[in-house]
Amino acid sequence: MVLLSLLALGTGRAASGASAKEQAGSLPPSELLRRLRESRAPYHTFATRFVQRKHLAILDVELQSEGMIFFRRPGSVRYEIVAPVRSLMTYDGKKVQCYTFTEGAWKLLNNPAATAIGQVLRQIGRWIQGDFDRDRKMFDIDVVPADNYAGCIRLTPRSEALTKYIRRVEIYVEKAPEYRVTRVIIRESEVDLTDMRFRQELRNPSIPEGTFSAPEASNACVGIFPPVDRPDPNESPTRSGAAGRPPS
Amino acid sequence: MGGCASLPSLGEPVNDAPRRAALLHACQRPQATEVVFRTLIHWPGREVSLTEVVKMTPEGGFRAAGITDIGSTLYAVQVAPNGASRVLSKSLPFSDRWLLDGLVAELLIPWQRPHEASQGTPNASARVGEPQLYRQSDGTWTLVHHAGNDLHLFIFDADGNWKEVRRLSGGHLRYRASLEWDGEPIPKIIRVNNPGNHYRAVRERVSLQ
Repeated sequence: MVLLSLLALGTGRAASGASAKEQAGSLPPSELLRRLRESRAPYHTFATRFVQRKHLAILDVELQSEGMIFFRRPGSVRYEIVAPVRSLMTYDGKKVQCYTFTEGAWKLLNNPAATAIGQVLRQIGRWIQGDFDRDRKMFDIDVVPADNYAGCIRLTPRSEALTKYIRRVEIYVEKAPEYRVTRVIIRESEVDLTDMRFRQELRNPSIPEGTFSAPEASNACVGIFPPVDRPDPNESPTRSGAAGRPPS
Repeated sequence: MGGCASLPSLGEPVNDAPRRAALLHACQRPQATEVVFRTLIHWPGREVSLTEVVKMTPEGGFRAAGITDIGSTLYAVQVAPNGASRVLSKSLPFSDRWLLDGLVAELLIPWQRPHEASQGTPNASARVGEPQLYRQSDGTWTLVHHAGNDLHLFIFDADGNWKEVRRLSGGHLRYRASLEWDGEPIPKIIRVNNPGNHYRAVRERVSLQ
């Protein structure tokens, strides 16, 4: 369920005409969700890089990984971790494939969780299109104010069974005119969380051949992102650490 | 080697205190306090990849966790300095014992080295109290360590490099692990065969502190 974090793709940069008044505060929940959905409508493909930090309180460690996500309508997804280890999940609209890079080569896994992963990837596809409707069966969705953001969308599991694994997902949306999600926090417990920050989102990029089925497309996928010659705004101090004081 | 194999042939018992001391010295407990492994587990017809983290506590115990490729926690465990272990959280369809005696025990192999008290009676020719050092005809060495009902075999090549460990219970092989080194205090790769639980695992060291 941590892939809920990929919702970030569904709320990327938006060509918004938000007013100055709206920029000063949070949008009403339904309005923010509507704008997110509408903002995605003009785009057929998306790609973004991300940095993921997993904090495990019992070990007092923070594991960091870097990756990228590609999407093409109606629902193809590539979710790839590129460092410090490499792994890949793809969904081409029909088939889910999981890979790991081990001992110098990609290995296709016969993953017993492939069916569940496929469900999650399809869910991601809906989110990428700004579609939260089906999630209302599993989650309570609300929007709360967050400093320096247009708002924070919170998904809280309805069932106790799901709450055992995930307490809440928090999606932080930048203020207008961007309406861009730059951070997603997945809280497994009161102390354990996964914090994802997104950067270099590309809208309507040309998708390399094999992106949604082949690990060999990895280099081509990395290649579509421009070199980072200056710090991403998402990595600035005002957007890091306790950015916006995530609501408790 | 099958899961119900009898004790492997250890070769000739050797009463060579300097050699035994040298082997023990060669595999002292590493000072690594935090290690991350990339792990691939193979069962017949299915495979799972995960990241495993081991952190040594100031008291000499361990805490460890397994994390999926999408960031969710598969398991978290704690091992006290006296070896007592317990599961702190788990989202695996296996018992705590399966996890602790299998994956976690194998994860901690680099720290579970023989010590000066190593002794045992692995074959009829050995007597309790004798140095439990054996030499095979190919020049490899084995140190034998009794731990309760378990027997741990630490196998070294002819040059004294630790290359394998086997754990047996009641004559049954619990696991067999081969170690590949690259000069660091933790193996670069650990390959495990666990016939009782019907899996093989490959752990590649990702980081070391």
